[in-house]
Amino acid sequence: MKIGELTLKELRDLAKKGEIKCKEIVDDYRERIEKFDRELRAFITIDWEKVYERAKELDERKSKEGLIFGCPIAIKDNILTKGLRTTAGSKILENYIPPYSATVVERIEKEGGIVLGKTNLDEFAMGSSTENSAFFPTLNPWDKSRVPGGSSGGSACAVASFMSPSALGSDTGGSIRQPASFCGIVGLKPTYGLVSRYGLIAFASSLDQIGPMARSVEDISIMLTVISGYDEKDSTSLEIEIPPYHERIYEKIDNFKFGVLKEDELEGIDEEVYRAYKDTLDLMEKLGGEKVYIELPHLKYSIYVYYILATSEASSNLARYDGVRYGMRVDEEDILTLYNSTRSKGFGREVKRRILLGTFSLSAGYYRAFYGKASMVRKLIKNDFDRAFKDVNFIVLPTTPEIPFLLGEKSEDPIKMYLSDLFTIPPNLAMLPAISIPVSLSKNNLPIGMQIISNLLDELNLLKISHLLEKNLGFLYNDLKRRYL
Amino acid sequence: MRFDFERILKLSMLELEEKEKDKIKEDMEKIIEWVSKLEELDIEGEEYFYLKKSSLREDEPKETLEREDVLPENNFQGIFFIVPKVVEK
Repeated sequence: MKIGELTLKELRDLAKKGEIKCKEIVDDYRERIEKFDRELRAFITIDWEKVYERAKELDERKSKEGLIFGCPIAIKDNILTKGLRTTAGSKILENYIPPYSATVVERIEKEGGIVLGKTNLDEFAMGSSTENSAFFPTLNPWDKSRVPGGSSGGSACAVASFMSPSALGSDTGGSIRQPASFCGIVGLKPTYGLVSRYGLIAFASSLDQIGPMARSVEDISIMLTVISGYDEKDSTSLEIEIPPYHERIYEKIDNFKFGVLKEDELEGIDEEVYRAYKDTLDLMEKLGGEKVYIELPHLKYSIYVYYILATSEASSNLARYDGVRYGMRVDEEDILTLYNSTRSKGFGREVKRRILLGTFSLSAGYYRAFYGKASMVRKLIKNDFDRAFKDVNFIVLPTTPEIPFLLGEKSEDPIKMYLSDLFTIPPNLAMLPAISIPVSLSKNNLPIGMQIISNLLDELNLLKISHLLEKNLGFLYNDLKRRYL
Repeated sequence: MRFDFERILKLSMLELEEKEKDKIKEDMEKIIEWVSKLEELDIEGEEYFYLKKSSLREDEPKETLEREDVLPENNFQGIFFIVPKVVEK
């Protein structure tokens, strides 16, 4: 038995019975991280002393309780961890030690999880390749000349290379699903409001959502049960009953209808991705689903709407980094120069570009034509989805229009980079849950993911259909196991 | 689209090096032109997107973080953040 190969459930069951000690689990993961992370660079910070202290504390417990007892979990470095450096991938927070933990981190700890370390990301989660990290880029474990996707690229890389069984990411326009697709793992963006955002470093608050990343739908469902639920500390948190996802994903699902777009609306996507998409639709029909062509007439505007709204919200959210209360400070003679110098030296190029774009969209004279119009079109996109979900249970789209691209391939052309989020953005705008599952490999052995979207708060059925598909796809990690286990 | 780049920089409290400035300005112009695709849509009479949830609560003190845990060690004294002088004599 190889510890690195075990699922969350297997790890937990063995740890609870005392058949493996939490310390052994940590030892095993540490060995792999020390061997591979020097090159892959998924982690920004790991405090082994803290990790071992936690393992010891769990090993000494008389009653070993918790859904993820003894399971190491990697945390994207824009999610606060008390006493453990949290940088958001930015120089401006390079030495920031949070005084409190995000609600999701508290929930992971309450269920017996071990915070393993903090994973790399595009600065403030702004990017699709993790190349915008102020510290270093992360590599794709399938092909080290390629990007792992982003912004949760560190989390995706860590899970795919068996350096962590599961991880948390955050998703504003695809930042969980796109790297999950690029690294051949499963990633879920939950319904807006299902998971507390308290302690998530804000990028675009009306779109941001935390979600799990793992190598199986089963593990995703366990993590979702752990992290979801009402939190009074997040004003957008929904007061609803959470079903035990992890117990119910095995239930039978039949007579489902799934919506697809007409062919011409998918023009321009990579041929291999298109073929994988078609194969997935065929498989869903074979599994008893009924394919329905749907119309989402405003979908094609999503990407423009997103880059106006997300940058506007970012320009407002990032106004807090002024050098006065926390984070980096560049000392100057007067306060305005202090603000200016701190922000100018602390933020990287993409963050500056987005703050400037957002400031422009919100500025007098342009507000109505840009922010205002984008907000109205967002509503139209939401209406399109509402209409579609009257007829179907799911909507299936490719996760990304392409296979993982090369490092540096798009870093000089922001629009090319932005287009990587073409299909992942719409669910964020409509607040819908969406999952990416790996479905096949390209001819040069790179993973291809498909995205399934469900109606608001229908995560249970989304996970059921994903689990069913996964069982029938038989997507194997043999190649990665050979290399990393 | 033409816009006053210096004004946006000032509003954003950002300074750019000359080299960086040209590249970012050019990128912004391209992106603004790109998102202006929305102009082709008629949105007369449509409504804004907004969150319907309201989370107002009673104004009662609750347990919160300890002040000394939250305040920084540097640039802080008593109950004040230390910054350069902001008012003239």
